[in-house]
Amino acid sequence: MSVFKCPKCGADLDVKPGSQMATCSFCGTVTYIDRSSALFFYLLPFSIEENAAKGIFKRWSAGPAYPKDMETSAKVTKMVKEYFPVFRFRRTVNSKEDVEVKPAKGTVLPGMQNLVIPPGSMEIYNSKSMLGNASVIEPDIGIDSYAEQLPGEAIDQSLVYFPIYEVTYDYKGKSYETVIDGSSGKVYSGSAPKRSSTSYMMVIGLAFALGFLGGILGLMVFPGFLVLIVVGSFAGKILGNRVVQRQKVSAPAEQKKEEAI
Amino acid sequence: MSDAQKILVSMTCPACGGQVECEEGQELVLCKFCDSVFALSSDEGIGKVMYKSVVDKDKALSKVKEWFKKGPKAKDLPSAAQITECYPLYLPFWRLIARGKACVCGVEIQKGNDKQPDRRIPHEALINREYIYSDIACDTGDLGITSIRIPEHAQAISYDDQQIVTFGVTESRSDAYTEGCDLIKAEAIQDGKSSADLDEVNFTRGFVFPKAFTLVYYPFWIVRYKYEDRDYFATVDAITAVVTSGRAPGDAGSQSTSAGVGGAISGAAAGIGIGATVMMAAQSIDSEAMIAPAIIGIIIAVALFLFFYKRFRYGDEILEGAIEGKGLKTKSETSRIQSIYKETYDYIN
Repeated sequence: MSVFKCPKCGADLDVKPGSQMATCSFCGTVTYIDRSSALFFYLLPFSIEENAAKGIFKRWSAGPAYPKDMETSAKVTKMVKEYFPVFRFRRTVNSKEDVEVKPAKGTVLPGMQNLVIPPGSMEIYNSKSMLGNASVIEPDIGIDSYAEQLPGEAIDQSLVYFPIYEVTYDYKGKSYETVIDGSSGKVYSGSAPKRSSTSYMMVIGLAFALGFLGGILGLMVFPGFLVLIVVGSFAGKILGNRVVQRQKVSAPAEQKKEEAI
Repeated sequence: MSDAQKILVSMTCPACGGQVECEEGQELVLCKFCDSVFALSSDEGIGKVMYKSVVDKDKALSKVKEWFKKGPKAKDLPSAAQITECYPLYLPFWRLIARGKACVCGVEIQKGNDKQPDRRIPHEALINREYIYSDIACDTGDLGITSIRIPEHAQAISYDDQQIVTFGVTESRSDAYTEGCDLIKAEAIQDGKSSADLDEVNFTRGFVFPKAFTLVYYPFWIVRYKYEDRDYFATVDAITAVVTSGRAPGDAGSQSTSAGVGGAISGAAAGIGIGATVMMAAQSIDSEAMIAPAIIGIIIAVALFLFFYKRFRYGDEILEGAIEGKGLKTKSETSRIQSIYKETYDYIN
């Protein structure tokens, strides 16, 4: 990225991301920066370390939308830490400001097509940027291919490298992919295994049926039938527990078996 | 001249050529050499305010630990959770303070009887109140924060982007402004409808008079913790010390209790209701009232069933705040409009 020089005294100007004004540290001249025709390069640093990303994946896979054994049996086969390039266009459309984000690389990764720039403190991206052990994906889509289609007039545009973890995992012999936003921890997933609600419905339905019978028979036939409501509660509680209880880490159980042999 | 220099516009006084000093947010500038005043037209002409964080790290952590104990969260969470990270963060919010005015006209209908026809009493409500709109100005990803309530005792300090860790503003300013105006107008009309006792609304009209539109930087603590090797988090308001959003593991015991007790009680409600109706029918009580127990019973049953089913099915993970995804939401998100009840000049007739 080019270095800005103060138009008054020629000293280097320190231009902060997102600000329209810069003050020269030598002569104090305030300079307005017209960003409409330039492309700025920014980088969002990772605020989530690899260990935390693994923990987020584990938490996500234990969520109620995914199979109960997914947390324990999904095997992460690949986890890549990388910076993904997106274009961020700020434009005036019908005298209103509009922000659009488009991927700067063709991709099938989940979440990348309708991204919002994730949170994080933006830094200027240049050769001195601290990348750590993350790789940088270079853009392969030119900015012109978007700029021509976008309505309105440009205020500024930038290429933002944003931090992601690309996680590939196997579950029951099939491979799936998710993306973890390395800045906020949001998980973007494409197709993923699903947990069925049937067993939940059956358990609560059984408790409901017992409660219903208890209520109607207790009132119409003999009050003793009201006991069925209590029976329903306990039956639901016990069966519900079996549906909900997840296997704890299965390793100790296997060890015991080995010892027995 | 290199390309980089073409985008720099020097700020000099158009009258005397002297150097002028201006800051972001200023709209008028006074030249200190020749005393001429001129207007700046800048698309960033917006005030920035920052609030001082008063909650320290220990307090934030102790609030999160208290939060662990509340609601249907895993029973062993307070002892088993390991705090892995705790850091302060400023989030940007668009904040519009405006006077909302609304005129709502309608009629109240007093049911008549056989002798007298229905009485129609016209009413009008003129609402004149102060409202505050605040909306997050960036995408917080998974943090689940959408709006703020700035407490009275909060201390505003001048904005200094050198000192703070913050998020870049990514939401459009004019979108926020338009949305703020629209929502305040709608809220004023809604307040008018609810303050006058109207059965029929004939006319509504809302107006909004913006007073101040600022970009507010508000402090939070982000606390990340591990439970059974899974990574969860909570965010704490660094001025009021309240947990604003978070994810937590659910409690399997309270899930299964929901299934059993919730299922049985909702079933019983339906059973007793229907049973009562059937018995009344058997005694041939010929009245419309006969059907009432069944209807009431079924309504209670459906409401309880849905409430407990959600706790059972999605109780594995507790979500608080505006967090997307499957899970049990135990706390709704903060609404974006806040009514101020001082300097209210309503007229209701």
